[in-house]
Amino acid sequence: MSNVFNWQLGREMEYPYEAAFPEQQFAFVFNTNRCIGCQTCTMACKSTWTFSRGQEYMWWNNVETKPYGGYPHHWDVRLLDMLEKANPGGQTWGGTPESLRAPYGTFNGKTVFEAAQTHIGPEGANRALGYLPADDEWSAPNRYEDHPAGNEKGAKGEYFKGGERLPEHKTWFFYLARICNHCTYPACLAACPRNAIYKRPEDGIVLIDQERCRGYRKCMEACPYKKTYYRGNTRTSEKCIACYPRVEGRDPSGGGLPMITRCMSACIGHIRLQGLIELNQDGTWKEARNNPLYYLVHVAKVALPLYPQFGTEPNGYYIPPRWVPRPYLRQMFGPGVDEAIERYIAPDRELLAVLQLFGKDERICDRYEIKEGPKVFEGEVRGKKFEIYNDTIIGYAKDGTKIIETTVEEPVYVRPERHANSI
Amino acid sequence: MPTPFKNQSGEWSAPADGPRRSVFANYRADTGKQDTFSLGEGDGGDFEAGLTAGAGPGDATLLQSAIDLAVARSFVHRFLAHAYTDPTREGWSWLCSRATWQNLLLALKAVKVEEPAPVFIEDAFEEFRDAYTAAFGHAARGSCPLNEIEYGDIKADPLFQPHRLADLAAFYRAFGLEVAEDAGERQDHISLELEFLCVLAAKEAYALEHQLDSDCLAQCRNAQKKFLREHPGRWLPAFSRRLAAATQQPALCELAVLTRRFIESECARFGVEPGSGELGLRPVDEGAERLCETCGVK
Repeated sequence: MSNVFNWQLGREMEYPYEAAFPEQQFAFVFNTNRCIGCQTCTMACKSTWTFSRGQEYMWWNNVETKPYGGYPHHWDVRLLDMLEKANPGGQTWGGTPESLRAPYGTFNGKTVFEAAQTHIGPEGANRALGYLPADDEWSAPNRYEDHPAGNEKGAKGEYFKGGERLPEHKTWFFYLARICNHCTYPACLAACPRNAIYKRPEDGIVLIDQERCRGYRKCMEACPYKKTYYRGNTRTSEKCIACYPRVEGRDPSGGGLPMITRCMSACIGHIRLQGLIELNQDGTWKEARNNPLYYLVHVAKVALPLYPQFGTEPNGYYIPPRWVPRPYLRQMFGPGVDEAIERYIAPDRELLAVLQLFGKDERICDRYEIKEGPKVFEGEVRGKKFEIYNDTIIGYAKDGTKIIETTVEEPVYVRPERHANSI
Repeated sequence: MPTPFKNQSGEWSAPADGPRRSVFANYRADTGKQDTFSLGEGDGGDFEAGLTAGAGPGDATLLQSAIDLAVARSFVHRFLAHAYTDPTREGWSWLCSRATWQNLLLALKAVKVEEPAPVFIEDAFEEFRDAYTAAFGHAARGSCPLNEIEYGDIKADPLFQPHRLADLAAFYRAFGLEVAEDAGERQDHISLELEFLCVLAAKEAYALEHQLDSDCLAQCRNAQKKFLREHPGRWLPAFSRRLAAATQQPALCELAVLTRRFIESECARFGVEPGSGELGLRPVDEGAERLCETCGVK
């Protein structure tokens, strides 16, 4: 075991290999507030990569309804339970938030790597605490879809009075879209006995070498997000490949520029923003003030990692749903939730502009620039002053090509009386 | 701008073009694979790996050595099968190619046969074909027959020949193989027998590579052992001796020595007693002429 620094936990942690970081890291932000659970992303991925025999139950991208849904069933509940049993009452956060190296304070509990050492099974200690889902847990990928949770016991034939009011709905659910997080410290990679999993130095994408994999499923057991899948007819495991030919700029429709993945570009709700992040020597993010992901994660701090306490330093970030009870969200996204929602419900001028970048172009936006526009709204949101400026945001690709130019207010076009298909 | 539909040349294929690398020390850089096989770091003594190989990284090396050995054995069988096939220009080109030669050297190193690899020269095709015809003749029966059932004592078993042929056909069929219609040879021809062993060794490599059920591997090895004991292991030592005596052509002489050494090493590997180099040819027995035409019984 080596000591590696995990900035999401604000401390060093144990990992089987020495820390090493890619030149750039594949990362993404999902805005759960916008997700309508249409599964277009799921089908975009399915029809691109996993349409073959043996891949029927394989959903590299899935959208599950929280809190009850999950694929495989109850993956997060089970792992949280295992961690709690391994470290009863100890899975807590503390410390003072610091920029870049500890933005959420310090995690006092045990990660999947640390908990594994005290969780000795019949075959000894695993490299990461985990479990192998049974076959039935891989069935019914959309089980509990749209199934709400209620904080109070309701009366038959009646809605909760004021149940729709913020800050927390009394009846609630939300959609959680998930892909592989291409973690900085992947548990799948740590657990593979054949060293078949590798993290690419050029973009940090985690891949399974199909020639080396023998289907032992140790990765499936170790990945806390359960994002590797076993394929029965090839007897190997497969996982999300982050559409790497597109990220490499090999999709002809991108004209050679790095492109976002299929699931990201197909998203009709424009909930997804993907980027490539440059890292410092210690694995923290290199300051890039005008990179949209850097801004959302480290400046506005509205995007938070999914279950950071697992310790794999996932590179998927979520803007938490603003109507959901906070204790649930703190468990899922860490202690930054309250601040993130406060900022999101009444976004400042820059945040509102950056939020327009989501889903606007298939090419990866590396840098943005804002041209100020006139004030078009002034009001109040939950007691806070809220203004809207019709600013223009311009997005550039890595090579400086202008790829996005859009305004905060959607332009209005009035169709002429006689138009193309008028009768 | 080209559309994805216009770009079907392989540039758009999934595998990355460059070598696979990882930021972590777990994944050794891919140095590229050879065309036919690569030899592991093991010394070829890992024959028993595979059945017992587990999940540890050390076992993985052992397993890789076992796979490499099986692939190497398969290649030597394939090479010999080609060499004993009725010579054609096409087959000759393959035998003479640099890639074949290099692979043969690697394979012989892996199977620990130290005989020099036969040298086939592109321009010597006619010379080889003439020597081949002189040594083996035009008929099944000559001074050095290429067919198994010409070897041995027919008096011990009046149904010796049909039994041998039926047994060979059953072996092939059990593994889903049939003699091609245009093969022009009987089931007992040396090329067919060696080709069959080539397939079995390749199957063994496949079973190891894909971690198939240990039964698959055991059956594969058991079949090789039985086939070797019943057929090539029994008569190829005698064949090699006869060939060495029947020809002066350098490639054929080297081929004879290599065949004998390789078959003996295969017998040793599977724990089979090789047949005698002195095994005689079936005598031309007038009694055989008197056998019942339909059932072979006197």
